[in-house]
Amino acid sequence: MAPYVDKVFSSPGEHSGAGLTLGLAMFALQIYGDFAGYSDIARGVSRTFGIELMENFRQPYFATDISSFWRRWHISLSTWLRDYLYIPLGGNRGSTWFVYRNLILAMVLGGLWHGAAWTFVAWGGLHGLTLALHKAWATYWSKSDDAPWRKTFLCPVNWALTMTTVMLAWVFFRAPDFETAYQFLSGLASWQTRQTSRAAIGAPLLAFAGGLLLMLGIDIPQAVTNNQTIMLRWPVLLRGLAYAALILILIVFRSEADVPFIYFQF
Amino acid sequence: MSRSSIFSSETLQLSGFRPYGTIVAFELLLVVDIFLARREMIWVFAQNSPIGIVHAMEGLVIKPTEQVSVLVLGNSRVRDAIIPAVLAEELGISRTNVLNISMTRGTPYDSLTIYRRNREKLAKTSLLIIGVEDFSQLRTNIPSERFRYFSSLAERCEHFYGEARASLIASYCWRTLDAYRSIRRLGKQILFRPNQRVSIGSDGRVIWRDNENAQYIDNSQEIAERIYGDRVLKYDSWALRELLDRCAEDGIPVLLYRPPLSTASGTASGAARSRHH
Repeated sequence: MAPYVDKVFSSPGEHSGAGLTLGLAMFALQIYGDFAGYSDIARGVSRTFGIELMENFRQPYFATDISSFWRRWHISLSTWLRDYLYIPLGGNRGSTWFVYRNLILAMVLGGLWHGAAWTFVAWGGLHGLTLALHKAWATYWSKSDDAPWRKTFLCPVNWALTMTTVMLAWVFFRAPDFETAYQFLSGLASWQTRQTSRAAIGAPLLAFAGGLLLMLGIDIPQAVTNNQTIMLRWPVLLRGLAYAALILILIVFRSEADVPFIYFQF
Repeated sequence: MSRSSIFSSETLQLSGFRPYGTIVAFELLLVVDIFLARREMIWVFAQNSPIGIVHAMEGLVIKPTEQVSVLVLGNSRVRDAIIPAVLAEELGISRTNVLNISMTRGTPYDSLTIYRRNREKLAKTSLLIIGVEDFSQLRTNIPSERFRYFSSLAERCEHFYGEARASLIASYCWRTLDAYRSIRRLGKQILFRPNQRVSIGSDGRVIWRDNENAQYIDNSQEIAERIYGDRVLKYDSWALRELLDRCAEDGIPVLLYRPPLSTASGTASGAARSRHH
């Protein structure tokens, strides 16, 4: 996935709206696989030395609101931000606007933690803003009638809204500068169509579909059972098949170039 | 957990060591290795690939030829420079007796491989023209896909070092590691370009370009060094030397030919003619 993502983000003006969407969705999968995998490797290695590290990801793309997303994504950073920035800044104490300010400020600083670039500030700011909006919405919502049918009906809508926000924020996170981010977003907004060969779009689409299936295959059983080690309870044959498939995927689809972990740089 | 800490109080509860899933996975990977990666079909299915082209040329060019008078081996510059139809006309021999089986990214090792695989027929050649260039003698520590397919264990140990050698030995045992590109290409071929076949042009040359690896094709030593960096060892013509030894054993006159940047075919045909006569 990485080569296609690199291509799309290096020259967003040369891609169609569909190509940009695919590139963005691929980046979302790439960074999740990259960082969650990286964290799991760290956890596994630590465990062999008898050190138990905290869980860092808990199916973040299943979140139905932005606040839940941050309870599932990069948990070590979000809890650190909460404990060492948000709470010292005042946390939930004080006026409503003061709380919103704290949220935005904590997330902007969280963005800056990723690097000294304005794009990270924008990414953090966008998340802070949506967290504040969600807090306002939740405050309003808790006062209203919380009928179960409304919850069921709104669940897919909430999920779509949350994912749209997360995806749009990823543009700022991945783009090297504001100009590229602007080009990317205007490309998405104008939704231009371009003539592309079947193989040019088909191969990345297939890679995305494969990555998505892989993610769902691991995350759904974990989310449904609320058990991160559910795979160890699968029947032996299924487990063996899963291990073999994962190893083959690693071999067959390995990149020709050295692709370092994204979070290696942070 | 008090305050945030990277250390968790929630420990994973795993009961004992249960390697059964790993054993099943190992067995499945063994099945894939034996019944997929070690099958020639996987490697040659895509004719438009570095190994597929060798098989395609053997089938299309070498196999149907009764008597080989002039054989040309080399890379794409040699393929483009020497036109069998023109050379045959200049030499006054049948066009079907002049074979140019040079190919994109062809190295001396590939020439040696083709010669070794078809020695019975090619040993009767009246003249062998081998394309040689400075950069093709550069010994890098990066095994080509053709080397991964054709090489013996001894060659893998002898001509590579360090990480590359270890990887080559591992992939000699676990062929899936060598075949990963072919497996990937097989999927691509089936899904996106099922009818892409190699053919012979009217001038006697095989029409094929390795577009998949086009970004790596470069002729200059300077750029090769820039790409390979410290993985460039030295100039080493072991494959060429071995090929020349075999030709000497078979009594074949050899012309080492370095294609110039222009008027290549005229120079080659002139040289070939003088040697042939």
